Amino acid sequence: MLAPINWIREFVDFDLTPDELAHQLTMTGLEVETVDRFRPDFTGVKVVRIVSSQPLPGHPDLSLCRLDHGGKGAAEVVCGAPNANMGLLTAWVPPGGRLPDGETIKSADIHGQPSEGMLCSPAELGLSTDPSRIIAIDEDVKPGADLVEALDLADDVLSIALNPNRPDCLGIYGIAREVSVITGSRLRRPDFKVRESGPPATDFSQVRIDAPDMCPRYVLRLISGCEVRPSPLWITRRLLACGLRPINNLVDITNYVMMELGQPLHAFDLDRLEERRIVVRRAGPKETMTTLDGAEQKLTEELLVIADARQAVAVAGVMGGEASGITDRTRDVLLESAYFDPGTIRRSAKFLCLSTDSSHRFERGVDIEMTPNASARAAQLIKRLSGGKVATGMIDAYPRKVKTATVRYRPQRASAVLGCHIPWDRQRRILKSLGFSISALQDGAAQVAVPSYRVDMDREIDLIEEVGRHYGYHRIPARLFAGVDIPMKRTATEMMRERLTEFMVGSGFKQILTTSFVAESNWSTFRAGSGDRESVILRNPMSIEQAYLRPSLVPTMADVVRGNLNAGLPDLRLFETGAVFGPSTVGQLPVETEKIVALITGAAQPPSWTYPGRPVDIFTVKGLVEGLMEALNVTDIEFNPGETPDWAHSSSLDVISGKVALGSLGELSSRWLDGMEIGEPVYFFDLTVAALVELAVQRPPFSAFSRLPSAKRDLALIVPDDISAGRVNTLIRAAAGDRLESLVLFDYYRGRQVESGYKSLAYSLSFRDPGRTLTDGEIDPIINSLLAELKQRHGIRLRS
Amino acid sequence: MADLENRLNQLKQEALAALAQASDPEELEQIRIKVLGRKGALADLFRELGNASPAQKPVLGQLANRIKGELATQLQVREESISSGAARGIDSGIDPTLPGVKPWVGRRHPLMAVSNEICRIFAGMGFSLVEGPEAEFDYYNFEALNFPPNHPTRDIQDTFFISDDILLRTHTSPVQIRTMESRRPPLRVIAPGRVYRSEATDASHASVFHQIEGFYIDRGVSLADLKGTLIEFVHQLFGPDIKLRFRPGFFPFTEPSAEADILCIICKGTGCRTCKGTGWLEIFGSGMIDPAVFGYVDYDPEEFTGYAFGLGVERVTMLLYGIDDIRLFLENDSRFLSQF
Repeated sequence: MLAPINWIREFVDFDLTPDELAHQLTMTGLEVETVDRFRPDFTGVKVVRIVSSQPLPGHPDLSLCRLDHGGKGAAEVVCGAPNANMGLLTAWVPPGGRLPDGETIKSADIHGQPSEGMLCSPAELGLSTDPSRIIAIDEDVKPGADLVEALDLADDVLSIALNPNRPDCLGIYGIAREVSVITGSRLRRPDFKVRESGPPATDFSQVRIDAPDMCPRYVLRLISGCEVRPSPLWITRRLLACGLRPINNLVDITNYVMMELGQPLHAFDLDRLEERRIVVRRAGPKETMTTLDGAEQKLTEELLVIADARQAVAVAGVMGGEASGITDRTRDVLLESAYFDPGTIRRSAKFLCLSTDSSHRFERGVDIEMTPNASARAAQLIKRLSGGKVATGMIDAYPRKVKTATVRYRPQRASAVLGCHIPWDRQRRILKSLGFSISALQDGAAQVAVPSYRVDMDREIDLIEEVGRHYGYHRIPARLFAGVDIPMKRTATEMMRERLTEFMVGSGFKQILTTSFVAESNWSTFRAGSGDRESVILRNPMSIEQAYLRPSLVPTMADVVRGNLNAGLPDLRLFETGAVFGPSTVGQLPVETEKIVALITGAAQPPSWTYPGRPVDIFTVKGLVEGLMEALNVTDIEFNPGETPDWAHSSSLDVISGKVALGSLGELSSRWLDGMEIGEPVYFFDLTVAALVELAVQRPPFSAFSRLPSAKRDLALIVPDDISAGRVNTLIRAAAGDRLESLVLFDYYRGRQVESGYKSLAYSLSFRDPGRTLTDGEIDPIINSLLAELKQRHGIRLRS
Repeated sequence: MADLENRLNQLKQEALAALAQASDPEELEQIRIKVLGRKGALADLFRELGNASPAQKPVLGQLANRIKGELATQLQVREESISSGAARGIDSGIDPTLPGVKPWVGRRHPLMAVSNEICRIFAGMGFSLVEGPEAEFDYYNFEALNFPPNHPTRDIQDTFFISDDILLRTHTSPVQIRTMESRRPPLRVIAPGRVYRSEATDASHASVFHQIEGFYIDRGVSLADLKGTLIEFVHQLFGPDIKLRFRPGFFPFTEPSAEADILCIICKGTGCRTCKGTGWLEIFGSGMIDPAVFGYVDYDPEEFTGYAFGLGVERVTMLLYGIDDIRLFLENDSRFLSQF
């Protein structure tokens, strides 16, 4: 909402600078975003008086005017306007001045006569639509004055970000009411008196409301014998400051009154209405009409229209029709001032994708008691500016009285909610100046009647807010905690997320956050679960590439890998924790699961001069998961080749602990990476956070350890290829007994040094006894029986 | 016998020089054998010592033993320094300008770091963390938060829809309803999470972003408590010199509603580009929970009152670090991530 300050001053006096006013309004709930100096878009234009005007010889349609411009000497200008007569006070653009269209005026030579600058029509200066004559200034101003100053064309304009609950401030008068509460000055009512004459309005036209729920009130006035012409400057300058384009006096007046009072108005050309009457009804099933913007609208029965005897002539509250609007030839005007049901207008505006100044106000709720006053105000102005006659009385169809609320109000409750004792007298004064009627206090409560323009209030709490905002939020003290103490609890998921983040960051990973949206191709590649795709597809995505909720963190994270690689940033170690979405049955929420996913590319260690670079491989991610499990005290964990999805390499492994599936790890398939335009191997792990929460041991019981020395033995074994390293591990542990403290594979070899069909595995075994120091004599038999067992039952022998 | 003394000293000098030049364990071993070994040079000199005069024997014997000890120590020192790899740079000693062997350095995403920090501050004031789904029913996101159907208040938040009644939550406020449905006051809750708006993306707007919601419901909770809590939070996060300003606002689910601005942390109120010259930064939407909301969860508004507030994690993070483009957060460029 744009509010020129001089317009506000018409209704209330105040002694505040524009910035002070803006601040006060902001602090009481009307947020002023900017204060802009509005100036018409021209420069250097001056007030001049034509001191003589003679026809230009040989060109009777042009006059040579001598101008008094307040300075030394007179300027001479050639002008073609019919009103360029001696004595006229008008506007002159001297050479160097600039017009709104950007043209800089120069001295010219017209038919041999030098012409210094030009005299302007209001249209040339963008002040109104009148191109036919040059500006005639009625005000008492001196030649030489700046036109903008002299005619008060500039103003400070408040740009107010109005909340949807305050339609009462969608008119300057409503804003002035707030200012009057702030400053304590009296609010001046606009002049609603109109001199009527001739036969009653009902003789000219009639109204029938077929849908009273959608249109509780419809007021018409008739003004006959109007002359359509450009509006005077005092109207157009205000419309311009509010960002509205002047059109003609009739249309401009409806806009002017709407800006002033917040009540949208519409002017019909009476002669263009079939049978000169109005029917307010739902649109017919296949009805169409052309709106003022030239668009042909297909209507439905959900929409309310204003019709004449034959057809729809306006979409009620949204936009008028081309066929019934004001034209240059309009004589008799039928002026509509109505109250439409807000939901109805919102439906129409949404359906037609048309948001207008009118629909914006109606869908928030206008003041139903303002309709006759706004009608009178506009009729009065039309009479004054078009020379028409206002028919006696108005047609006021008011089938549904809209009741205003009366609220039981407890001043003590207000103090309690606001946390600050505010005396009743202060509260009462605030409510009163906002227009509420208040009864005497009885049993600690008053009956407060809400004025019709405050459509947002019908409860005690609404009134408490009014009192609070005008009492001043800055006066409310700050306090910490009134009630009993509430124990703070942390959830297991919250703590797990923190442990995971600590582990990953500590392991050199960067945490990333990626979008939740993927393209269909990625959705189908990664989909998990068998529900309906409708449950994870957006109806109104930003783009087709972002239409699905992500089924996995991998694809959006891979986008980040590609982005960094393309920027020349290699060696990526990235992780993300976040929700993925599985399909569900229609009508149910998608299945949300929190995941932690890591992606790795490039070198296993940061580049260094001390050792050669080694690339990451599947054992990097496997080791990472093993390390993570160790950190979370999860001991029983298996890595099994599982069913490999399209996006993963066949070496990928499922991570399982007992019956709990934790997720998977491995390498992204090169085919999928090709599709993603990633040219490097990328390794991943993808684990479910809830499974980690289930398995992690938060507080493992302490187990005592032996302080006696350990005994170490290294064994290099020749193992048949068909026995896996994991199996050898299990066999050794089983055979070595419970004094085996640790078992580490420190070498793995296949190649020429070992006969084919076999591989070499070298282990370091460490033994310890809780009670005494182990001697060679005790270790040797263990090793010997271990080797015998491996050799006899599994064909594994010691490497010689 | 001065000759033997000289030869002992000479052997020492030569041996030390050889040790200094040795660059691997094998060389050291050879020096050890040649000098200190059973058939080495020092052993030869010890044998010659037998021929010395009785007066000189103890003096030379002491010298020989001292040299033996010194060389043995030096040998050990060199062995250690060579085997530790530190001698690889320049032959004598360590080149301190050689880079160290760094581990990979991990980073928290700035949004998560700030979100955690914010939650930690509220945890310190007794707020417990609660989370809710990102795909949400219209009922929780709008209806029970007092956004009437077909009402202009819904235009404030452009919404991604999955079906007529399922959408991506436009704010973290649905967690209020879900929590109130399952628990009774007193409640003091903080709810961080991802939210969605179908808005065109630019330097200050994202369609995927993060919020933190907080609320407190009990007997006798007032706007003064809200003010006190937010002031305490602002002092902890931004510093004790950052003032908080309350002004009226509008949210369908709070009444009275308040916007809470902080003094611009860049210019401290004098006006700058960040605060668009106003000296203030809008940080919180807040207010007293509307009795209509209590109606949906069957709390008696005469018995309980509560406040609620929400803030945008991106906005706070951008302010704290001076980040000027919201799109950097989800782009995840390494050069961005490495800075936090």
